[in-house]
Formats: sequence, C-alpha cells, structure tokens
Amino acid sequence: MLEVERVSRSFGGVAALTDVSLEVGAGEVVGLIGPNGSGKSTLLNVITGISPAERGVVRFDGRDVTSLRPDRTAALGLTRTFQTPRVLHRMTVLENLSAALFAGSPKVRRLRKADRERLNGLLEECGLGRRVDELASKLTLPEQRRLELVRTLVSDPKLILLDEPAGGMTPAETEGMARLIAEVAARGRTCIVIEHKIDMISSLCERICVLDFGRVIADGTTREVLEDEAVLDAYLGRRDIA
Amino acid sequence: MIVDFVQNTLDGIFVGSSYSLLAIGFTLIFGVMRRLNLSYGPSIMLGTFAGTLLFVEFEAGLLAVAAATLAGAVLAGVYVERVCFWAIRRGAALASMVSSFAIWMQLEEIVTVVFPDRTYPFPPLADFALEPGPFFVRGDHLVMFACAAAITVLLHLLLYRTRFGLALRAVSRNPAAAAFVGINTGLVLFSAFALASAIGGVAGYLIAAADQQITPFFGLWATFKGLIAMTLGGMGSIPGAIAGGLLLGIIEAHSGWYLGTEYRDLSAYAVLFAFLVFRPGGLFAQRQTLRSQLAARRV
Amino acid sequence: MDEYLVQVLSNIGMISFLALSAYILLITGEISFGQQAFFAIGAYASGIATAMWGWGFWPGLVWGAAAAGAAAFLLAWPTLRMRGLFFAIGTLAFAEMVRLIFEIFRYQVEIDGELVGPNGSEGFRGIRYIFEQDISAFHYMLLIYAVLAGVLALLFVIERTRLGAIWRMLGEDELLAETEGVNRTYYKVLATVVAGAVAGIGGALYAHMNTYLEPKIFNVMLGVHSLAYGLIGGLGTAFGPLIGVGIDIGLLESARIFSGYRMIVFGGLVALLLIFRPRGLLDEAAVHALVAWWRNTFSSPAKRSGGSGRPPERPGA
Repeated sequence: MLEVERVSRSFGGVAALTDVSLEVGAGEVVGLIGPNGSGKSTLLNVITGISPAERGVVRFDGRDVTSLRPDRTAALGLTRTFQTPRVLHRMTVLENLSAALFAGSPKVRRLRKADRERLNGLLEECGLGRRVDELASKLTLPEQRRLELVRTLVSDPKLILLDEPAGGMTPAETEGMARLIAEVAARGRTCIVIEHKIDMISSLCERICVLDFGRVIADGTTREVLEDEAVLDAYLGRRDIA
Repeated sequence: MIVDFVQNTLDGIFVGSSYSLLAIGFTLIFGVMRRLNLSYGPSIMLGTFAGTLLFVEFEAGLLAVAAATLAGAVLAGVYVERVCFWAIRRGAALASMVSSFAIWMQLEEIVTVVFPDRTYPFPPLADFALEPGPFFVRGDHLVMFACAAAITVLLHLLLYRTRFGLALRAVSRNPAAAAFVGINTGLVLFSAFALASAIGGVAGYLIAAADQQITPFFGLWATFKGLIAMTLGGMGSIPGAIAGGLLLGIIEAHSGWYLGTEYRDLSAYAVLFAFLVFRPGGLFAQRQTLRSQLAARRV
Repeated sequence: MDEYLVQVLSNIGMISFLALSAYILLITGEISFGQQAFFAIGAYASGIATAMWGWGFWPGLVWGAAAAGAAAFLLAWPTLRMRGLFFAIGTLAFAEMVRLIFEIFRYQVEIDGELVGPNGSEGFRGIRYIFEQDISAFHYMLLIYAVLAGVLALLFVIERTRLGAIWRMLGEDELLAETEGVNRTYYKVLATVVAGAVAGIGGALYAHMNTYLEPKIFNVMLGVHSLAYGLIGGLGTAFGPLIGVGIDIGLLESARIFSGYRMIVFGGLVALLLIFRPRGLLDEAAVHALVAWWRNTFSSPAKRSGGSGRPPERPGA
C-alpha cells in the first residue's frame, strides 16, 4: 500500500531523514518509534506532502506521490493526526467532523440527515457523544486527540497516520485510546502509529520500525525489534519506560 | 538631458532620505515586535502639531519646537504601544495592525478638533541652498540626509555595542527564550517602541521644517511613505529601510518627471506591489521575514 | 419617511456590501485593506453601462458586479502567496493603484450635446438613471435592501453548506484544511472573487444613488472602515458586519451628539473590542451560545437531531 524508498530530507543543513525506506502492506498496523528528534514526524510530513522529500520516492497504492501537495494525497486516501492536536477551536465538535467530510469528499454539498447521523454515530463510538454540540475549544487534550482520530475516519481513508495519539495522556486515558485504535485496526484499516509508550505500541502493532538520527535502525516484528540491541541502545536504554 | 537625469536622481535621494528616516522607526518596531504599527505616522503628526503649537502660540525657538515635536511623538507612540500592542496578546499581529489603525483615526480627530484650521506654519531649520555646477540642492534636504546617516550609525552602535541592544536583538529573535534568560521583554519592547517614536519625531521635525507647514494629512503620508520604503527595503531591516527610502525617492522623482506627476504615486505603488509578488523579503531579504510571514497567519 | 433618515439607511445598506465583502475574506483568514477598489470598479463599470451605453439598471448592476469579480480574479493570483501582513499591504497597494488609475482614466462620449463619462480626477458626473426613471429616494432605499437581502440569503446558504465550512476551515487552520483535502488555491481564489463581486454590487448601487463618482472617495479609509465593521460586529455570522455598519454610520455618524468626535469614539471602540473581543461582538462562541439558547427554548428535543429548528445564522455545518 505504502512504499517509502530511500527518502531524504534536511532542514537548513541538518539531515532530518537519511535514506529512509519503509513498506506498509494493506491491513497492517505499524508502530514507528524512536527518540525525540529522530525524524518520525518529519517522515509523516514527507509522506503526506507537507514537506516533500528532497531525494527518494514515496509511492501510495502504486502511485508516485512524492511531490504531491497534501490535499492531493488526502484525496488519494491518506489521512493523519498531529502531534499537537489540530482541531478547529471556533467550531463545534460536529462541525469539525462535517468540515472534514466536506474537505475529503468533493461530492458532498451539504450535510444531510444521514451524514449527520453517521458523524454522530462515530462520535458516540469514541465517547464524544455528549460533546457533539460543544465548541472544540472546550475539549480537554485527550478529547481533542479522540476527535482527531474520529476525524481521520470521516472520509473513509485507506491509510491512517497517527502522530502520538496518546501523548500527554494518563495511563487510563492511554488505554482508552489504545482500545479505540485497536477497534479501528480491527476493521481492516491500515495504520502507522508514532508513539513513545511502548506498552501501547506492542499491544497494537505486529510490526515496529525504529528511527534514530533520521535513519531506520530496525524494522521487524514487535518481538524482534524490542529485543534488538541497537534499539535498546538508541532508545530504550536511555529512557525509563513503563 | 543628462543634467535632468542627475538632478532628478539627486532630488530623489534627498527626498528619499526623509522616507528613509520614517522607515527606520517603522522597521525598528516591526523588527522587534513582528507587527505593523499603522499609527506610526499619525503619532509623528501629533508631535509636529505639539511643536507648531509652541511656535504659533508662544513664538518658541527652534530647540523648544524640536523638543516638543519629539515629546509629542513619543507620548503618542507610548499610548499606541499600550493600547495596540501591549494589551493585545503576542502573535495576534493582524489584530494589532487593525487596532493601530483605529488609534490612527483617534489621533487624527484629536488633532483636527484642537487645530481646526488644517494648515499651520512650522519654523524652517536650514533655509539655504547649494548650487554645485548645474545642480541644485536644498539645505534642509542635506540636513535630512545627514541626520538619516547619523541615526543609522547611532542605531547600529546601540544595537550591537550595548547591553540594551543585545536584549533587543534577543527579544526580536526569540521572545520566549529571551524571557527565560531573565530579560524583561515587556520593558524592552516598550523602550524599543519609545525609541522608534523618538526617531519618528526627529523625522517629523525635519520634514515639517523643510515643508515649513503642517497639516493633519501628514499622518497618512508618513505612514504610507514609511511603510512602502520599509517593505521595499525588507521589513525589519535597518539598512533595508535606508535603501528602500532612497529607492522610493528615486522612483518618485523619475516617474514624476518622465511620466507626469499623476504617475508619481502610481509608479511607487506598482513597484511596491511588484516587490511583494516577486521579492517579498525586499532589497535586503532577511530569513526572519519568512518566519514572520508564518507567524502572521492567524488573526 | 424623513429624507435624512432615508439617506442614512441607504448609506448603511450600501456600505454593508463593502463590509460583507471584507467579512468574506476575514472568515477565510485574510485581512484585506483593498476591498474599496472593487467597490470603485463596480461603481464605475455600472455607471458607464447605464449612463454611456444606455443599458438598463439591472444589467448595469450585474455588469458592475462581474467587472469587480473579474478584477478580483486577476488580483487573487499574485496575492495567493502573500500571507498575513503581506496580503494586507499587497491589497492596499492594489487598491491605491486602482484609485490612482481612476484619477487619470478618461473615457467620455457626447450625449445630448453634453460630455458624459469618467474624466480623471474631475470625477464621473451624470449617472442619472434613477433620476430619469423617476425612482424616489425611498424606493431606491427599498431596492438597496432587497438586493442586500438577496446577497445575505446567498451568504447564509453558503455558510450552511460545503463552501462556508471549507472557507472557515481555511481561515482557522490552513495546514489542517490542506491535509484534509482542501485545494487551497481554488477556495482562496473563489473567496476573493465572491468578495470582489459583492463589493462591486455595493459600488453599483452607490454610483446610481450619488449620480457622481469621485476617485478620491475610494481611498484606503473606506476600505479599512469596512474591515473594522466585521471586527466590531463579529465574525461568527454575516449579521456581524451589518451590526458594525449600523453602529458606525447609524449611531456615530448620524447621531449629532458625536459630530466632530465620531472618530475618537469609533477608534476607541474598535481598539477596545480588539482587546476584549478580538473577533467582534457576535463571534463564533457568541453565535454558538445563541444557537444553543434558541434551540433549547424554541424547539422540542425530537427536532434536535433533525436540525429543522435551527435559526438561519448557524455558521459552518
């Protein structure tokens, strides 16, 4: 489904990604981990076209999307969340979703009753049912993250990129978020999840890819990767993980 | 022919030096705050009216008039800073800009209420002229040019040789980091604003003295000339403000002469628009201006 | 109706178009100092059509709006890459260019032994269609408000459907909108064109009420005022800018107690609002609260999910 081939990207002389390759098959849930500043978010930006790769190729569904703008990759079925949640504070929760629906589906001209019910249903499922008509600025951080997750589902995407979906959450909230993602994955959606919480990653993903200083240092099944010496050195050894 | 061309260029440079003077204060505020103060010209205008008040009512001398002009400009500037910049949260660049426009309306109306006669005399400073060869140079224009040069040098020394300059540059680069290392960013911004207003006061005094008269319309004129000159030179850059002012003066002088006076301002705006499209960083493009563009995206 | 009152109300109606024009760009996140240029283009184009080409009023109005929209389309491309302050200065430069071009624009024909048409800084006299058709000031005022109601209705439809939601999305978070699939170029250009055409309609109405156009009235003060109206009245609904116009022209300019001090009050009001309510009186949160109150008070719970009990000013969605 997604092929990233020897992609490089630098910012003002600092290499953020060097020769990164990654393949994700349909239905897979891949964890993307690595220390802060290792290039995880940059990789998502490269894939979605926010900051295109300087070298290398990104293919999605067999199509070269390397230099496509973000709205074009979105139209092909790529959607994402952000490390710092981006919700539309001046709109209600439901309006946030309907805006995403309009943005993702050019044929929808106005919100019909069926659309409204579908969006309400999605919100209900992720526990935001009571907040439908609340302004998004009133949501707590975990709620904003959940809203972002629901938003990715609105336009029926092929690949979902989640950037630290449980960042800043308590263990209980993290567990709730993990359950939600698991439900999404169980319906056969392909996901890439960036996360620091290894417990969550190992329960969600069969496969993990590890970035360090902009390079892939490990890529394999969850068990293999979590026992890998280089990974332990680069990441786990330095951090006290729960 | 060639004499006309050189004379026009000379005129342009000398008139341009008054634009440069206006642009320096403008760009100082923008460089430090990353926000635009449209009330800059009207504050200066208020200052010159304070000067003219002393001149008309009390027949005050040159120094007193200059001091009153400076004091008026700084006072008005401080008012603008408190209302439009200090009171509005950082990052809301557009809100500050619109607010500064609102205060502009206020300052202009205050002046027209207090001075109902529109046009008032202003004492001349250097009423002589030089005639080297076939050319003609006005004395007050020479003084203006010298002042622009002197202020640039002094400002450079202040920015790069003093602790205050260091703090100012730190705040302009990264206000949050500056605050973390113990700089009182509010005070630095306030001082920078007052300093810029003082420079504006000098500019206003010299221009009014050259024109020997003053009207409330001066506020609009000063804001626009300063704004265009600053944008041509590159927002936030002091050498840019000088170059932009001179460039604007030269463009106006030549287009006025060759195309006719009705094309003078039109050419200036056309060049400004072309710069915004093709070279938004101005003559002296700075890397920060790109960042400020991003910062200015939200109201 | 009192003649003065008719004139004040007509002015409020015409300036409302300009305020709505600025508002459309404000909700897409852009501050334009140049909407008065499209007001001027609409005024000149429709005036030329009726006074010089012998067109009727309505074709002239449509032509004025179309000319303004076309000019906006041309402006939209070079300004697409300008952001924030740069967009503001760019539109300012454009509008001043337009005004200065009208200062030198001469195009006159002889009609009934008299030269008619734009004559540079002398202005454009003799746009007498309304006068010749014997339409009273009162009826013309009704006409202005009928057109305004049409434009408002269109804006409310836009705000309740796809286009409005996407404009507001772009206005709040451009990057998010793009990653969700919004083609920024298309929607920004569209917003600029619609805003230009709305200002053009106002200009056309203005030309025919005044019968005389002078380039210098289309200066930047007019543009910044129209911008301020949205910021005073609120950006949560298209009623916001109208409230702003009402406060300024209806209250401050026309009430004689403020005469001579209008700008001191108006300027202070705008500055205070920007500090305490940066998106105006009727901002998104206020509109949302009003809608919620309306729904709780006037509609039964059964209607809620159906949405039939919603008042028209609901933004987005």
